[in-house]
Amino acid sequence: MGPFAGWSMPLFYKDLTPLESHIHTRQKCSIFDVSHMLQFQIVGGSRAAFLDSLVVSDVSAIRLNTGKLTLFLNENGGIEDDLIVTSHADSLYVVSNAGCADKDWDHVQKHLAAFVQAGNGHVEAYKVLANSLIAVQGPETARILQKYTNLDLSKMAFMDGVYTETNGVPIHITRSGYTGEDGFEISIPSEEVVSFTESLLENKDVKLAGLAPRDSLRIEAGLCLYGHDIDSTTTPMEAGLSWTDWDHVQKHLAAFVQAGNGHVEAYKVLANSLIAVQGPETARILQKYTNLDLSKMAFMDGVYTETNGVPIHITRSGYTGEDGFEISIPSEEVVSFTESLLENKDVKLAGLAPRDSLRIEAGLCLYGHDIDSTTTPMEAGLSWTVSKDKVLNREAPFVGSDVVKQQLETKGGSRRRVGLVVQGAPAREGAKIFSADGTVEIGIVTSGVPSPSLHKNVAMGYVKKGMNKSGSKVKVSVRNRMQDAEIVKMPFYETKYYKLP
Amino acid sequence: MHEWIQVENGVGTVGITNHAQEALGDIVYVETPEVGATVTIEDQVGAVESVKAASDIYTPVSGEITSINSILADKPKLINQSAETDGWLYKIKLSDESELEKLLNDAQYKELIGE
Repeated sequence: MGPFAGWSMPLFYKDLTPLESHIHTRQKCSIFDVSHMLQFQIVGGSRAAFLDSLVVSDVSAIRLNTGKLTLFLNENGGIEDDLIVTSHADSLYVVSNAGCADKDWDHVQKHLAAFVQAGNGHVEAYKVLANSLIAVQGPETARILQKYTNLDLSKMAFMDGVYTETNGVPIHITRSGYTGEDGFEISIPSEEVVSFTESLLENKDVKLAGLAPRDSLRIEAGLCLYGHDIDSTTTPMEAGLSWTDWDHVQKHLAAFVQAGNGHVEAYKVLANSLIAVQGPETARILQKYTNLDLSKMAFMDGVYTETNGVPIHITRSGYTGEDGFEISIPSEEVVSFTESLLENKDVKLAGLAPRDSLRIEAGLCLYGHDIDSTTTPMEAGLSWTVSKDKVLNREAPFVGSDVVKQQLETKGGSRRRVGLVVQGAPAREGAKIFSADGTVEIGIVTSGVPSPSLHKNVAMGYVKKGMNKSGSKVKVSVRNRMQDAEIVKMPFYETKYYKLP
Repeated sequence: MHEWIQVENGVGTVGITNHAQEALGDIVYVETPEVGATVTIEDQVGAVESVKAASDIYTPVSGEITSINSILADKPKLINQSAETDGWLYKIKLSDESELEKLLNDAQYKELIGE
């Protein structure tokens, strides 16, 4: 296991080494748990116009049920994040990086408020979260909660928030709420929320609580983001409680509050997991689980559908260069669905290690490494994501568009992303790139790996503009030894994206 | 930390432990020191690389490098197969045998890695 964007993620699974898992993906079928990524939905009549104001692509032009890789830029034209947008009849489905989740969400929220205030129409955005969130509210809350944590809650002021644990279960708690009362919001793994809630209920002062009165919920717009308002396509996951439990909770909450017992609220939380099922055998195997004809789905197509009665969102995409699908599925169903997939002998679990080596072979950028807020689309070789129509024919169409336009017209920017094949030791992130005679530093490696498929060391990085010609000989310094390298075109390994017959 | 040394007649054979090779996974490249180089205890003298990561090799003792395991250049996976025997990295003529006293013995190391 390893830390990744604040999550503990499997680097690889015991039954296969990273190398074997990598090769397995090229040859068979692997499942990646990528629930750590930010998933959100944008709804409302002006959703495309709104997102158009933030990204380089022409969102309005994305065909129904298809997706597109695009970029958030800052005012300087630097890339704030890369993201995939899939267009649906009533919504846009967006997936962006876990490491940028907060930043992206802030960015979206800030511009959304301005957009709506300016009278541009109706737009709303909803996160799809992986953890459950409960709000425990009312004057007795701190006294009761104190039994469940070693943290001194009396030292927590309103709006303080910390990561801590209860009975060994890691939680995030904030002294906040939307009730006007003292209280806490607790983010807890969905599989633990039921037992934790049951344990709280053993205190006589806590009635199994339910939804807040409708009108206060309406006021509490923030919670509606995680809630149950609009999502017609994702099964609301009631923090692990069944519908029956939830009805029970709501009934008793209403009675409890009406009886003047004080202010208590409980909130339902939406939670979908995201898995990437990748490799040439994927479509054949997945076809068993859906009535949808997968042969009609082209690369980057995406639809809402169902498997065995469970609503899912699938896109024909991934991060490996292979054919494959990314499947968004309610978290309470993801384990049994994954186990069911694993009953196919060609399907294996895969972790971050093969995910990284596979995406490098495919020449795909990892945000925070190969692109960041100082890189422009032109420099990163991502100009293909930019809608020329938007940039050239509309007035300041999106954040950062001035810089993009100027760089498109002048082939500007100071550097270019290139692929490298390196002799000797593998070059990894941070290795410096020098001119062929080794005297002048011309750039830096941003990702590199000994390629399991090609049996040579591949890397990507940036060199000064003008020195990026394919076939150029350069040197790369690894542990202070100069090694021969050559600039090559990417992808290193031919991608196998699905084309319609 | 995860290197081993076996000393015979003042010459030590150095490699990485089986635990280390398991943690690294498939080894794809080995960088060994130069024969004849004089190194000081805890100097970085090479590296072992897997698909997953590059791991530096630190010499557990001071001395002069007398030979390297040349098979590893073509067959780095030898370390995965036999890290503590055929997959040795280099031999070193010790300049100060008292440095050996600072190292963990087999039992202490196994305790460290929880075996």
